[in-house]
Amino acid sequence: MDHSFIERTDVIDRYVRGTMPPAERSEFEEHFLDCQECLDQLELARSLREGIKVCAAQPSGAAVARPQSRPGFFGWFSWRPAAAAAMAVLLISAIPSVVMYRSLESTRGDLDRETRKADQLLNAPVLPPAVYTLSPTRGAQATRSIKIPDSPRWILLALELDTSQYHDYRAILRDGAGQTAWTSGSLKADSPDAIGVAFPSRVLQAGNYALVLEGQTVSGRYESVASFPLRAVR
Amino acid sequence: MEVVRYTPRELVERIRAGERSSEDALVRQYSRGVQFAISQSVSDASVVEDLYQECFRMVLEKVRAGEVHEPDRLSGFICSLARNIVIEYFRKTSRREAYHAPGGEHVVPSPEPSQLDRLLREEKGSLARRVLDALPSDRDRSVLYRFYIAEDDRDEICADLGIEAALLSQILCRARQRYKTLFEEFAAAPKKDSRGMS
Repeated sequence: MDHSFIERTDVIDRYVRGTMPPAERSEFEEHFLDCQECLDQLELARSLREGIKVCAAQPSGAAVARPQSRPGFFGWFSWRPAAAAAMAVLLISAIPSVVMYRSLESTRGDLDRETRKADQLLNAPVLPPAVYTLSPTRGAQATRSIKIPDSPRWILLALELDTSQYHDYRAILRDGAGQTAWTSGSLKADSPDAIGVAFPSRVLQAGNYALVLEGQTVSGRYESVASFPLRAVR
Repeated sequence: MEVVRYTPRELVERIRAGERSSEDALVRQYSRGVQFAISQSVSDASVVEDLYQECFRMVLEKVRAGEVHEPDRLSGFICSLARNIVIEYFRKTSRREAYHAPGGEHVVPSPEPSQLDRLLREEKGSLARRVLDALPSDRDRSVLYRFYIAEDDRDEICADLGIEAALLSQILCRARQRYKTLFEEFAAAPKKDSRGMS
């Protein structure tokens, strides 16, 4: 992984945000472990992200009390809908265009939705992952229930199985209809008896799933290693 | 005193040869990265410290025992160990939780922040606000908000705001550099009050 690629594809920010696919994450960790330049940028990005969260979570009154030459962070969200509404009234009286009115209403609706979404997220702490340990059993496999968290977070599945036979693995999460809901490749299992699979909770809807783990053979072909039936519940 | 940096292969070979100072060099060289990688998954600082210690204990043990088969890929080896240690930690806490509440979802409790933590958070918030205020447009503020807080997809942000991916990268990069400058100014400035901000 070179620095121009890291910069071009926002690797630093995506890593800090925790939304990087596991294979890319592993590759980047291997790079930055011994790269002071990337570590500097990572620490900055993490600190900035935390700062923005703190700043956004502060009561809007505090933001207003502070003199500003430009609208502040929350100011931006508070004046926009009001301005859109005022603009809508003016335009309706001047140009009775239903199309334009609808367009403005839609914009205002989008902003309202964003503001509501922001309100929900602003005070959200950085949530730890929900962790489940899955072990294959002989005969009929018991379905494991996975609770869909109320707030988005990572779901970490620790799969207990013999991982000595393959060097690379991939995990596929299939829904009840057999459609792929999520997949991850190039998983490594350096522990001889477990492999970790992490995915964002937002890929889950209530219903049945199967997590299929496949191992890559020397010829590059993947063969099924284990399947874990899951039931996502709210 | 100048700190000597060895190549991964040199480190492995020197440690294998019983050179104790190279063990210190390995820890020094990878310490910051390992700590950052672990703290990306674990929020409790004391747990991060424990896992970090455990990671280097195992790394040194395995290097001494000649278990690093690809010395040039020492970073990858350390990363894998760190990852497994974190997974093992979560697995153990998950089992403990399952013992007390079978079938339940496990949530690792976050410790209450100390006064110092709160102060540092406030400082970060203050600096971040200055970064946001200094941005040239609402569009740039929206990018930071949507990327870091709402955690929207990059492509989605670009499509909604009608910008190229390269511009989004520039905005993020500029914000980081601005934050760095403010942070350095803040660190260098004489403290005017208890928070050190004027």
